[in-house]
Amino acid sequence: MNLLNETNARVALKGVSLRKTCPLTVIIPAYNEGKSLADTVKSVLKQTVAVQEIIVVDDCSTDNTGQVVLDLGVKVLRPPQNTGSKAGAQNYALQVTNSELTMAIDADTVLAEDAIEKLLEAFDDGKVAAACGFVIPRYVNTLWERGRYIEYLFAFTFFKPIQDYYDKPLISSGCFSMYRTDILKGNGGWSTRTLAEDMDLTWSFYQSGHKVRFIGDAVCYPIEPHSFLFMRKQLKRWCHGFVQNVQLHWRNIVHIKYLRSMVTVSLWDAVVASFVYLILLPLLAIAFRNPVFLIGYIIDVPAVLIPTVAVAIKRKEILRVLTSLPAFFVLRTVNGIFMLEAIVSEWVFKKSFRVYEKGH
Amino acid sequence: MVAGIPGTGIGGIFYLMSAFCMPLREMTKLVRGKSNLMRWKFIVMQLGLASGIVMGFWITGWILAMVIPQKAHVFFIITSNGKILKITPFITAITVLFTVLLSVELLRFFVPKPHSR
Repeated sequence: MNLLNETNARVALKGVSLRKTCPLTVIIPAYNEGKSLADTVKSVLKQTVAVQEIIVVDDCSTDNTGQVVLDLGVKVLRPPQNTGSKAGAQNYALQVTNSELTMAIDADTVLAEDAIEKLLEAFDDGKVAAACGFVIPRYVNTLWERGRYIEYLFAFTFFKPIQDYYDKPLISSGCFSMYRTDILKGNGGWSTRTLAEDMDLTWSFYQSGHKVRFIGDAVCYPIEPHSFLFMRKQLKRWCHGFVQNVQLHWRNIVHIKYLRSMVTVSLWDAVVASFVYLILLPLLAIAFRNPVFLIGYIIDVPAVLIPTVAVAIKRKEILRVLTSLPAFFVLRTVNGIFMLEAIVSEWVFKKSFRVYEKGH
Repeated sequence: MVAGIPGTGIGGIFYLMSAFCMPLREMTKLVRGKSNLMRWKFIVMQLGLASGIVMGFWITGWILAMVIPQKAHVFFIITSNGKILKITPFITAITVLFTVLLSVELLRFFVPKPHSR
């Protein structure tokens, strides 16, 4: 099946010349994204393939979010009241979507020019319900952005392609993913029952026998948290979301090959590695009065460095990678703190965190 | 997002092992006529990364074993030879990984399979 219909070529959107058109609706949920939204929409308009429709959901913003895209020829929906989450805003637009494919993209994310075309290739396989791409932070300046830059380069170069090889990408990332609309609607859209709706949706697809793909050539560039204040919100949401999804899905995913191994190992690392890293290593160093234990913090530098340098050579960003590497070790320490907090809060104190706080 | 702390724990070793198992899995696909050159290119690339990581670990262990004084090898005092930092943590991690993976494989026999949605 070829989703690009040349005979149906048409001027789909304002300012777009004759191109192949794909049966795709792009949903962009936005809450106070006046500064970044126009860039996101323009990057969709400049794609190598034209899309059927772009819907911006202005989730009752208090800034000029709705106005900045009025001249770009996109549909702007405004719910009667704030939906409370990204999932809620996306579902609001999904109700009026009737194209074969639906894409969700964050309002602070821009796409490489061929990102949609590359991602479409995944849907040549009729069993594929969702596909996601390579994520690289758009700005790499602050400590937190640099840490995230290394984390993404590492994960999307080494972990994610392996997950894809075994047909089980852990998450079809919420910032840039494409879905088969009928399967998405059949699933009830994006669920709001956890704080990580993308993980919830991905695991639900596996449970219903569908495939999810990771396409490394489809690249997007989101704005990552630039300060601890925003990083804190995002990490809290992600960590609690992971724990909530494990709690919600474990009875099902234990029967799904490779996914069960991946999730169990991730959970083990989330609990034990965080504990060792944050508590045990410093305690041992103090108890034995021997700093050799602190080597544990950096002993895996080669593991992180090899894949990131490999992709840095390809992207001609070696200096950026080398100067960003120390920030990664700061970020993962902070990540460990939030992961432990989420586990203790959700499972020990049974205090489920449900407030969706925007992380950028 | 990577759950846990990327790079630490048994997750890294799990993915290394997954990478090294790729050729075996691909051979079975080849026999069934489901393999192609592109897939092998991808496997070679991931194997290259995995091998680089293993080599990086080995070099790190080798350097640490040389730099750190023998008496500081408090991890394993009874075997104070130069190889401990390279080998023992690796064996420990592999053992933990296999135990964790075996546990989840056993768990599925005790958890009823739900009806697919």
